Amino acid sequence: MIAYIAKRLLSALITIYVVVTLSFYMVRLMPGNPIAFLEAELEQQGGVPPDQIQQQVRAIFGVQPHGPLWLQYLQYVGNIFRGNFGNSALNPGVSVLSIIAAALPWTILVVGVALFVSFLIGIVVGTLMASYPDSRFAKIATGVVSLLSSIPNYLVAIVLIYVLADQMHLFPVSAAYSNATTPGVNLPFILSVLYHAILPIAAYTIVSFGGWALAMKGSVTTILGADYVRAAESKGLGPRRVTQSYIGRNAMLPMVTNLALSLGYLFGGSVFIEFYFGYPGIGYRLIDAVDSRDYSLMMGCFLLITIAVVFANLFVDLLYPLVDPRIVSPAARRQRADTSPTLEEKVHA
Amino acid sequence: MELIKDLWRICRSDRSAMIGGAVVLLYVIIAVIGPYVAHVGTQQNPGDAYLGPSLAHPLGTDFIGQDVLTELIVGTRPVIEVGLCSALIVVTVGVIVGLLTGYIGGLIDSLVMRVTDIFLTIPGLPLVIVIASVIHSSSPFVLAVILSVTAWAGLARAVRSQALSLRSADFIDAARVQGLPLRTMIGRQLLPNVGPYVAINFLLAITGAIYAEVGLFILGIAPISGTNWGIMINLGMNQGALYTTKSMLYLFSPMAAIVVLQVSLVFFARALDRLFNPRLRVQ
Amino acid sequence: MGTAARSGGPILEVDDLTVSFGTIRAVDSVSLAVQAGEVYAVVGESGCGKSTLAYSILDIVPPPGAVTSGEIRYSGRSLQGMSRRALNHLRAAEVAMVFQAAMNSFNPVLTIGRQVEHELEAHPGVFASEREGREYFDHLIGLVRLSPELVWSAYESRLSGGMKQRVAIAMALLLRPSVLVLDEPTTALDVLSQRLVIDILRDLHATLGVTIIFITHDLAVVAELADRVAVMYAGRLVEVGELDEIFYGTGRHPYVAALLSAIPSVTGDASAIRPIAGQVPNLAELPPGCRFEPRCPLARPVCHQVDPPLLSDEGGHAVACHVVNEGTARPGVGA
Repeated sequence: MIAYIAKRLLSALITIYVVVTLSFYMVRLMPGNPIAFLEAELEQQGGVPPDQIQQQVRAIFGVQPHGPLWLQYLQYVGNIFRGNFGNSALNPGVSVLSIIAAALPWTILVVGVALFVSFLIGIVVGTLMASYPDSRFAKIATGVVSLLSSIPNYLVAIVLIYVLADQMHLFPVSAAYSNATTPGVNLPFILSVLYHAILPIAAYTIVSFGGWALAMKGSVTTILGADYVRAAESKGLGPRRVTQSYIGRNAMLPMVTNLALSLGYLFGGSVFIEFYFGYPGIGYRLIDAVDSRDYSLMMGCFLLITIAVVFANLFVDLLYPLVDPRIVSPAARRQRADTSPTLEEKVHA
Repeated sequence: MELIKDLWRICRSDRSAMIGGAVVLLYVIIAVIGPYVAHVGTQQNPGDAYLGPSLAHPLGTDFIGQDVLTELIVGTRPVIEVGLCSALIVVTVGVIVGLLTGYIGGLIDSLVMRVTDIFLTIPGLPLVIVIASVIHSSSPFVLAVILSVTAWAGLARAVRSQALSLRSADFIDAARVQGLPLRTMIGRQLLPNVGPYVAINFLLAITGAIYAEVGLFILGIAPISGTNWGIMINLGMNQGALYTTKSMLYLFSPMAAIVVLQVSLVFFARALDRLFNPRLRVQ
Repeated sequence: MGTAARSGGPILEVDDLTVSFGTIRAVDSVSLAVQAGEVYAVVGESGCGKSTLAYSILDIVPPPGAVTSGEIRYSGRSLQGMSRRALNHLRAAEVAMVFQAAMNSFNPVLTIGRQVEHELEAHPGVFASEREGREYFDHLIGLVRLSPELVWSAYESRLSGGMKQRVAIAMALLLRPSVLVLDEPTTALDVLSQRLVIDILRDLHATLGVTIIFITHDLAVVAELADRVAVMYAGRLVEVGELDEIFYGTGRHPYVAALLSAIPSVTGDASAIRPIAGQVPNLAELPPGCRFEPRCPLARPVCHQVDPPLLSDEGGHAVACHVVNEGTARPGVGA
């Protein structure tokens, strides 16, 4: 058990480390090295003494611009682990971390709720599809679900905005909450937040629940044919018990592994969804940074999205042994349960 | 030849497969002949902006008076080019890595799998965006490569597990006893067995690539050159198409084109899956 | 012991049973009777219909299979007429089955103990309290030579195939059924585990007095355990009799004789092995007369035309063969 946790943890940390290294090299390998670019820009502006330029560049990117490469690398990695992602190039003085920290909760809110809702709907639909495989419902549902999950999520977002927000004015077009409310734990604010979150959540959910439904359908169908289900029925166990503890629990196992995958997908999709909805999450900030050539912010957002996904994966990995007892190594305790004499004992008796 | 006969057989028995396959074929044909039969004019007539559907303009006009249908047709090739190219890269890399590591095993296997896992965990889309924003190239091939940067990992893993299970299969042992070289083992023995699986994933890889590339174009991250569906939507939105109803046709036509292609690919892939997985047919 | 104790008649009667899968008869007009407390073996090669016969005893033949004629009577009560509830109670509480590859009959995400609790919950009348049920289960686990504490809290993935087979046997006996049906109890096991299971079954039979019906193709297991044997071929019963009559007596069905002589002797030399020529008939294309006729060394013209009936002598030894029964005016069918 400990070994399992340790292995997963190590794996997560190594992944993050690799991504950090990757981002370090990306900044430098970019055509038009942004550091040099920034330097040149600042020089052009004039009126700034050279060492102040260095200072500014350093504050923004977090590294000594002209030091040896390995030194820059160490500085960079060290900075990251201390939470220093540099400063925004466009808003000097504002740390990337503060921008990201303000943006991340919004993304987590929308992605989290969307995952939960699409998971729930998908599981229910999928189970129904598997339990009544020849029904009209199953056939229609299969078609609808296949259709919906093939549509790119940004197109759904655009349609939603167009129809519900712009034309019918049913929902707000952008922002996370109305400016008329004050942030804090008060009802108008919370309601406003929810109101603004509905469309983005809907956009994610419409496209993702199909995947869950189909996965659940496959899983339930497989389990329905399993020997232990038939054995349970032949022992006279009631249908409710069989559905709950024999079919349900086993069918859910593959779904848990899919959670991690789905989270990665949703975070990735956040770049589109948040942008169109003007929703100030981390995806929005990433695109914004790309548009305004704010490289340090862009890298920071990318790093944080990746770190968030890696930790989410780790979390699910650690959760998994709780639901599936087969993960923990089976061989060790087997011998002691058997009380009959072994061959050796018999031979030498 | 067998493959074509098999394909025809499924298409005949499965309606959705037939429709899906036909639609995909149609798109491919348009992509190939499109630029030869339709030309997007260079004159701009703002006065003709957002005209409704008519005989001259079956899908209306865009914000500078150009025919939408023409743009749609011309815009097919770049999208499919990049999608196809990316899917090819994904499948090639994925299959090679999967087969080699699955078959060779040992230290190389563990090492390569670690790397693959890392690529699998990194969220693909943000990475693609970051790279694309930095590498300003309008070459479709470069774009295809960027799109494939994480997509190959999933396929590699799946192919590897197939290769692993095949490795211990009896006919592999028989081939090995005959002393067949590695090249033959992989090419003649393993590949045909993972073939169907790879074909299906190839189609799905195309859908993934199209999803990503159109998304990039709409965001304006991939450089604009020529016409394609994503760019149409991008330009439309920049020109405020969301706020008028007149622009509906211009905005929705490329969207519909995208959706129809994606759905057809998925349905066709699913039909292939049913063909190769007889178990599923019984359900 | 089970609620239906000895009432004099056979505890289980199969009366002219036919189980069909579409037009194919997996079990064709089979009749036999099992007395309370005996060990009854049903023998045959793969595909002869013996497993289907076992499933029909509990009425769990998987669709599209269905009982198309005949009746199964348990202590005189017909299975075919039973209510849903009565049938439910019958399964597990009166007639319990241990499936082939019992290793797959456990829910992988629950402990063995939890699954035992489920069974106790589903049949509340059998024990006064759950604790009593648990104690009896622990006792049974001891009888199958496993450790009760470790089995109760174990997940099926931690037990070996042989251990799971034994746990499955213990679980089947939990509700004190009168009849225990085992489908290929030793087939999926290694030789040492087979030895163990045979010994355990013998002990259980001696201790609990439960009627045992087991299905197998392994004649060695039959020789160790059975009191009476029924041999099936291509869906039909071809011979029924006491163990000694079948293994060591005369007047055997040619198929059975061939089976026995195909077993290599531990002391004999390899040249003594004589396989049976030919193949089992395709159930969709049965020969008109005796089903074994194409492969039978004693075949006569009548065998090709008429399907031999199962005829019994006074001692209860029944054979379905024209040649063996020739000249003997044996009274009708029976076991």
